[in-house]
Amino acid sequence: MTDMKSDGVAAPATMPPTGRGRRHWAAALQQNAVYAALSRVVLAHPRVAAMLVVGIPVLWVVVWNVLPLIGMLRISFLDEYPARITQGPGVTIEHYLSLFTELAAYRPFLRTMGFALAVVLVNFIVALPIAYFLAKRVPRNWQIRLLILVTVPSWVSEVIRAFSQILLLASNGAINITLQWSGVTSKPIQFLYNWFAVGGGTIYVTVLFMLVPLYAAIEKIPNQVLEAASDLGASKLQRFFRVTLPLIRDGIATGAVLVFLVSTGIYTVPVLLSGPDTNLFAQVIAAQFYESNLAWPRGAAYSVAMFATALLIAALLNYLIRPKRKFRS
Amino acid sequence: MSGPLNRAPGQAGAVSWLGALYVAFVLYMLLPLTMVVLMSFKDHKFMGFPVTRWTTQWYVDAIHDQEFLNALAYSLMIAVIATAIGLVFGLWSAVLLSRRKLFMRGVLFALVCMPLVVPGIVSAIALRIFVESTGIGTGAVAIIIAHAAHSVPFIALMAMTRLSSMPPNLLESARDLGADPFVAFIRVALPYLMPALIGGAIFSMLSSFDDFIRAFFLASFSPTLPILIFSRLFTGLSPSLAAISTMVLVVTIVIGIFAERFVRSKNAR
Repeated sequence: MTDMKSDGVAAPATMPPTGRGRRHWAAALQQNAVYAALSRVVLAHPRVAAMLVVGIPVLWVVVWNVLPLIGMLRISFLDEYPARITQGPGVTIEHYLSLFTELAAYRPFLRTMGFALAVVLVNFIVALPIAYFLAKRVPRNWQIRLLILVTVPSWVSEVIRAFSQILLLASNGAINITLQWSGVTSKPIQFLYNWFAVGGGTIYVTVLFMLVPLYAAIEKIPNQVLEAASDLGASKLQRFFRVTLPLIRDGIATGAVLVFLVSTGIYTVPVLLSGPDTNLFAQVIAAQFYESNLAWPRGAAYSVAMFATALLIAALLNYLIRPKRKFRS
Repeated sequence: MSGPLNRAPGQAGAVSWLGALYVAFVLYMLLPLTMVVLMSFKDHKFMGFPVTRWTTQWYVDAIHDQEFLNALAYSLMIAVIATAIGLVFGLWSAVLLSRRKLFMRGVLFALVCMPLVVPGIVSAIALRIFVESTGIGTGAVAIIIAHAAHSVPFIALMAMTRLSSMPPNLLESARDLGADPFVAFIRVALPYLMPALIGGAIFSMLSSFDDFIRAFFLASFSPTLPILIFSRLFTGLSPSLAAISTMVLVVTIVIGIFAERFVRSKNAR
């Protein structure tokens, strides 16, 4: 054990034994000659230590988060993939241009962006009263429990959630059978494979991304502020629009950005629930990858375009909704 | 519990209709999944309502369904390995990012959190192109990488939150007692971080187990469980699918509730 006392390592070289009387494996590790030698080298060279602490996470992030996106960006400009062996690939922007010229590309693209904005709006309207109820009308110790009750479905796979929507909406699904049984209609109503199904399914999958930030924002408003507004004679509506709403703009912005980003890229729901006139852009992208390798550059270009546009619109939403910093308390 | 404690004045009547809206919302969230459970007990070849006769035969079929069992094992294996990798790199990132005066900390933080904002289909396609061009190829390795990369920010954020509440002198004491930095971290910081890591690991496993979009683009011939369910949705809606989905659903929810309670009880302490 004395060999540990060399160099800069302070004595004593042993950790106190653990309570259970057995030595902790890490304490044993420190006694190991190979480990001790390695440890001495690392400690003697701050550069090496820094490389370990900084280098490994940075390497991970760069390799798996950054390089794939750069690779996708690169391929989106190639006129052929895989590249010709002899001359190498040519560079082109035709894949991006096709977004403006091809009906089958720009129509779903615009449709998806409009759809995602509509989903943000509907989610906001649906989630706001629920969030308000949870944050201000429920005893504190029940708030989280009641919130978890509605977040339970979000742990379940998107595929199963879309499947559950089919069972609800199909011609022999729960809604149609209930309607016929109660005599409202005599024959099934077509709920599936149209905007009703895609919209409903997307809201079902994304509404919690709006609910949770709204809840957090409303919960933070001190009750005294609301009481003061009422005491000063504000009606319920006035209080809501002039006190509550301005105070939760941060939460609205977070929810809007999250919902917008998720619903532009949503794939499972439209694949299972949309019809030919309601296909979304993610389906157009995916189709490029099932045709052949030749369509990959186009698929990559569409992905880049979708992500970039979604980020831009999300940033715009954020800018419009979130209060400017200088006014924030 | 006699009633809401923090009700604002003049709002007595508002409880009822807001409460009714909440109940409607709960039904909206939970009823569709209840349909799946109901359907799994239907004694008929085809799905759909009304259900007149009931059976548990679909469950018996499911546990003898080799394709289902293979997909289940495959998904579990991927979830466990991806979570293990995600834990190592998530924790490592958290330790790095918890240094306040790190050079370009903001940039690094954004890079670590990137998978949270990139839509699933975009990151799936980017990784698909990446694994093809680097020779990794599609299959289990590609899916594991995708899931681990997705779980790193979750685990890192949870670990960072916990690290920020750790008394800084704990590690110094361990160092003074002779532990080298790594051993001090293992014996002092790791036990302190354990609740966050266990919580993060469970959520990472659930999100890997439930993931469809990444596995869909990165799988080769073996399907993961969500892919199997997805492909069977196209080949005819049989209640056997509902039975499989119900099993997945129940296990997911039980684990999720357990994780939620666990994390909350530890954080409250």
